[in-house]
Amino acid sequence: MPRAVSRRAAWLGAAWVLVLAAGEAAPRSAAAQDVSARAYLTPDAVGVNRQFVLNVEVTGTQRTDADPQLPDTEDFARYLGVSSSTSMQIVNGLTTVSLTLQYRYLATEVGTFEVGPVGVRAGGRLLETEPLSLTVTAAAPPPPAPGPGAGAQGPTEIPPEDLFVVAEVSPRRVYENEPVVVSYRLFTRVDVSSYGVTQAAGYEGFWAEDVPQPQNPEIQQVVRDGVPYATTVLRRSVLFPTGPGPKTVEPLTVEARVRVRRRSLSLFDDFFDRSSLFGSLVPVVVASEAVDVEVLPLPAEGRPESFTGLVGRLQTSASLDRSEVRTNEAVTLSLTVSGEGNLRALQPPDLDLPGDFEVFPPDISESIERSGTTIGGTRTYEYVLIPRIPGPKTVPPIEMAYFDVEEERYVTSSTAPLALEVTGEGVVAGPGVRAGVETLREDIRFIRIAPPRLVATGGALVGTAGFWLVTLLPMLALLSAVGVRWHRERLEGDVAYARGRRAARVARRRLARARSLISDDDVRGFYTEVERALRGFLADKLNVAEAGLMSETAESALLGRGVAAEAVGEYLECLGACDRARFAPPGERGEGRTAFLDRAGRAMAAVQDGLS
Amino acid sequence: MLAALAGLAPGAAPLQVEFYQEGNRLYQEGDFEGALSSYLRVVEAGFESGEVYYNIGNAYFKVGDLARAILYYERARRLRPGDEDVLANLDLARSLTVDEIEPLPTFWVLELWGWWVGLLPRPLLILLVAAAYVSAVGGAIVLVGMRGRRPAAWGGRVAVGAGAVLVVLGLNLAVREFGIGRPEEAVVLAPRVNVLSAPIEDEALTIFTVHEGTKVRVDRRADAWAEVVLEDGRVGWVRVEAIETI
Repeated sequence: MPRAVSRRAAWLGAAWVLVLAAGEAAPRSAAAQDVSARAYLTPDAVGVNRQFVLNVEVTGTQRTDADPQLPDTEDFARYLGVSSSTSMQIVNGLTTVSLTLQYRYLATEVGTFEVGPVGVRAGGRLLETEPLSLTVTAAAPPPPAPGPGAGAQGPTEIPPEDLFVVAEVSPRRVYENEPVVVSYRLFTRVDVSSYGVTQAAGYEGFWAEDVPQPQNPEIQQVVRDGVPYATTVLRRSVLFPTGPGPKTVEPLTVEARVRVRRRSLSLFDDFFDRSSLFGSLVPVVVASEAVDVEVLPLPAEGRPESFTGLVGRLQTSASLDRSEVRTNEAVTLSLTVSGEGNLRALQPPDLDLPGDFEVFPPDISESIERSGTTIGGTRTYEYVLIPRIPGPKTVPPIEMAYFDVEEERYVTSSTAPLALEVTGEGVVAGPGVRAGVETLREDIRFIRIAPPRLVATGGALVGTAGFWLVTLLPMLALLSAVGVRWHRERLEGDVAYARGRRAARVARRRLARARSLISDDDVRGFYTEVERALRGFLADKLNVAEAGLMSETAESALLGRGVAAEAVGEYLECLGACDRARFAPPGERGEGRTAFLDRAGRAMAAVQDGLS
Repeated sequence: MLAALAGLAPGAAPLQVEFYQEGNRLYQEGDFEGALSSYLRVVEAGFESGEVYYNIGNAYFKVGDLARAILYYERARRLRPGDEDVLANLDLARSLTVDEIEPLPTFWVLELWGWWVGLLPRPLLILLVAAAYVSAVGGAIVLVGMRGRRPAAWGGRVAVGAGAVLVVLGLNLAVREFGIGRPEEAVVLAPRVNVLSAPIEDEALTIFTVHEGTKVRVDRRADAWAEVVLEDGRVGWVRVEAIETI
């Protein structure tokens, strides 16, 4: 803000003047009486984006004590610059001096605005001018022909086709971070004595690198649309879009001082108006047009991990300043990256060094060359490494990826691995040299290696064979234990039950003994055994004394307990047969006895079936 | 017998174990994609285990799919609730997600109950329950069979002690087996999901957005929508394809 600086300087100056004025107040007081100020606008109606001038005329003095306090015009106009002129008139011996300050503005908003009072401190007094009214109309855009973005205005008409600024942008369709070269060129057919950029182009959404222009701009003669022009490059920048989407390169505004030859009204004027010999200087404001640039996003596919955003071209090389180093001594790793693209914004790569190196943030040096259309150069990262543990070490390859626009793919540039021999002794932690374990980086824990026990997905425990086995087997065992105990208790407590349970076993034993007597001569013994078996079985089953068992009572008891009459009859028949045979003469043996034994067995089984 | 109890050894799946080990080999060689697909074949074949889910989570983490890594760590946690490695990796993966959600404080009784339910690994729990059951029944058999004699008293004591263990651990096992009181939980898989105030496709109803890897509770479903509850208690509806049940 040079203006602010100059104003501050002027304020200091004013304070100094006031001090001086205090010293010589008396002799000058008369003159101070005559000081007056007024303000006016030329013109007071202006098109938008056109220039207007706020004139502040102070009569009675040729200097102000301080820079006038300008009204706040930020809402509708932009300050461009100031010029001043002084004049002296002698009328009837009275000398009138005056000072005119011309503040040039560019109208930016449509509407009617009040240009507030201007405060001027002059001749020791604070003068205030009347507020002014300014009408800004929506003027038609500047005539297009012949150049785009031409705009010339001002109190003096310079046709737009005689002076304009063109923004040359190439290319207009780029990838993110791909350089876009913008050149602002001034074309003129009039005599431009000097120019200055009043408003630098806005590069929102871009990283901008200005290409330095020579001190004395090169003027070229070109023919544009059949019209010869003198042209020069005002400014050249390389822009790197920082994100995808449509972007706009904002206009650049230039104020040029154009030497204009006024047509003389008379010889007299011509004679006295010195400036007409050389023409007078007229400020003209011209602006380029906004240019749209379409920025494409970089493809996500195939993006390497080491890609940090550089679009262009890269070569990397790495070196160590020595190949052997003692522990705890520094060794410098230089990583040189050269190529084209936005090297200045290049992120330093992550060094994937073994943990026994201490790494300091890199020193970065760069030499960036901005030639006509490309920007590139060399960037060097110098890392200081301090090895802590001796042994042969390797600095692994450092990878840096970039996007090659021409081939439209990602390319990774990689350095060669570097060997480093670390000698000396490692740091041995002695007593008192304890330190916490430093976490170098966080990572997940390692996978499980041991073969897993796989189960069917969603496999419920309930319903598997094992589950039923484990659930039911012990239950069965318990149930049988309960059954066994119940049985045993009943045997002990219930004589009839015990005898009934025992009957078959006792009878079987007796029948077995009888069978052993089949081939014997002892007929009586055989039949006695069979009879005892039959009788004992019946007595046990009916729980009566064996001796007191009568056939009649037995028959009724058996029939009463539901044994079939046939079975009862057969059983009693067998008993009777035993009785008879015991007293029969000997002689019958063998088959007759075997058949009888079977018969007795069947009869016993039939009665047992009937009872149970 | 106890091996049968644990019961769960279905016909060993040698082929699947081979896939698992192939995955381990690829993982150690740094081919995480290959390891992942190998592990996933085990799961696709209809088998599961805490280890397999844990390794899948690791492989997803390494290939950069944080949301699925969290999903599989959560699945591993279901099967191996107290596994330190699973919890550590789950914590690390969670710390890298976008959404930082302050969970609501839980009632300490519920917290204690959750701790108790997840205390023992499932196979061990099954083994203990089965052993307690067999001991209890065995004790009862001795009690019944050795009526009045010395061993009967011992059988009775064993039966009572084992029965108490059976009740305590069996309850735990039943809760886990039948999922009693366990809410349905899901992990957000879509990178960014609008959570709406109603199950209607209308952007204007968005009440907040969640990002991948965030765990939510699913309270109910309606067609293609699920009502989710964040850990901080906020409630809204998302499309079911944006989340996957643990």
